[in-house]
Amino acid sequence: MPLNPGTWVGFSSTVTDAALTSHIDQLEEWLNGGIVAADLKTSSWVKARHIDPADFYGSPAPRWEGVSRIVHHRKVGPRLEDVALFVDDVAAGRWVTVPGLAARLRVHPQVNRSVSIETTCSFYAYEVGGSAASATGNDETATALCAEFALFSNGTQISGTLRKQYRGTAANKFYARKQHSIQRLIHGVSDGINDVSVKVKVYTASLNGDPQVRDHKFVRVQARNFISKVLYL
Amino acid sequence: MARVDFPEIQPGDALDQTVLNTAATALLTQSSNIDGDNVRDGGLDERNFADESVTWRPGTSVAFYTTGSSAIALGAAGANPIQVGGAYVDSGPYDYSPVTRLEKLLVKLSLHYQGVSPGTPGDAEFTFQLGYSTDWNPAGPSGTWTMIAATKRRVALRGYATAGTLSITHKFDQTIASATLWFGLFVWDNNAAGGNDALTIEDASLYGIIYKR
Repeated sequence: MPLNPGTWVGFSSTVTDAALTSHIDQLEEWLNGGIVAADLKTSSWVKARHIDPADFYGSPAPRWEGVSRIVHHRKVGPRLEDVALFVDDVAAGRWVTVPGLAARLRVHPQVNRSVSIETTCSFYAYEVGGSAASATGNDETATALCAEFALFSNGTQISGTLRKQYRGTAANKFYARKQHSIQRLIHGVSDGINDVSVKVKVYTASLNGDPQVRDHKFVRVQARNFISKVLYL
Repeated sequence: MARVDFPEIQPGDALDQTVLNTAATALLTQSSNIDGDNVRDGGLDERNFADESVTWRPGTSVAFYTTGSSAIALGAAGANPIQVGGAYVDSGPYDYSPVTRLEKLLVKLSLHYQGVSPGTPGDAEFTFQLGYSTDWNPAGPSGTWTMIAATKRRVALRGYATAGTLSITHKFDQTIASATLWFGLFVWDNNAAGGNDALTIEDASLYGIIYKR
């Protein structure tokens, strides 16, 4: 009902100037700002999901922005010239972000809603160029561990996401080449900027008496796919 | 398009209560649906404004366990989900209503595994599969589990300590509605005759997300 029946009273037999002015004033107030939700019908075909288009963004941070979620997507092809290369004489034993497996997500402030970030990624990783002999049989033992991957959020390693990379050097061990994948939901993230990334930690290689001869050498990461979503719960 | 129509007053008409009340009644009784004239069709999409349009079940719904050897069943799935680090790899309970509330549920698993040497070369093949239950009680433990066929994955390790990564993403396709829906991971040595094959599961993450419309 557009006007409050309690205040809008029909004219009596005698129309006075005061009554006419009062009714016109009420009408003016309602039209110029007195309309409330109850004045509008809600049983129409237009639903909330119809309203407002999504926003698509390209480089440098390709993403899709909706209302209940934001989806960042990264993709690097499998070509060798696109490889992300890591060696142990650069930041050995330290976590380093893998290019193409990272995104900076902006979480908009929320009222009465919590926020999570869900990340899904897959990448092809292997080690080549080292001098170590093949391990016994086809085992991947602790001594052959050359690198680890893990998901990080704002510099903190996220539990449940560690992936191990074993060397595949001298014996050309192709089975040591892995298609790694990680799926993880981080709940209760803070408003503002959140940096989510996959990092790699290359272990220090034994030099075997010669700096040019290392038991493991080049850790390559190819075919990197990374999707990270902000979910407004 | 919603429009209010007042009776047009012509010069010379008498201004009395009937004319004014008719105008007021036209305004009071105005009712019209919003239609395509009000909304630009080219700008429409499936954007969702509803509160809690996405739901993630916290608490026991996520399992993150690091460096734990699991007990692997032989030949077929065990009665309960596997345990890693002394806890079940399960997720729930979910309040799921695919028909009445038109909810969609995605369940996602990701983990790192490694064979244990020496096993039986040529024999060690392991099956990973997700199951669901509507009466699972981890404290019991008790519950009836149904395997989800589309989530079955097999890994052959030939008895070596070979490592790998496994991920499963599945849109739960059952039409059952339940306020106590659980998901669990089942792993077993596929060849019952082999025996002595073992598997280490680390860094498992299992969770589900309900999307509402």
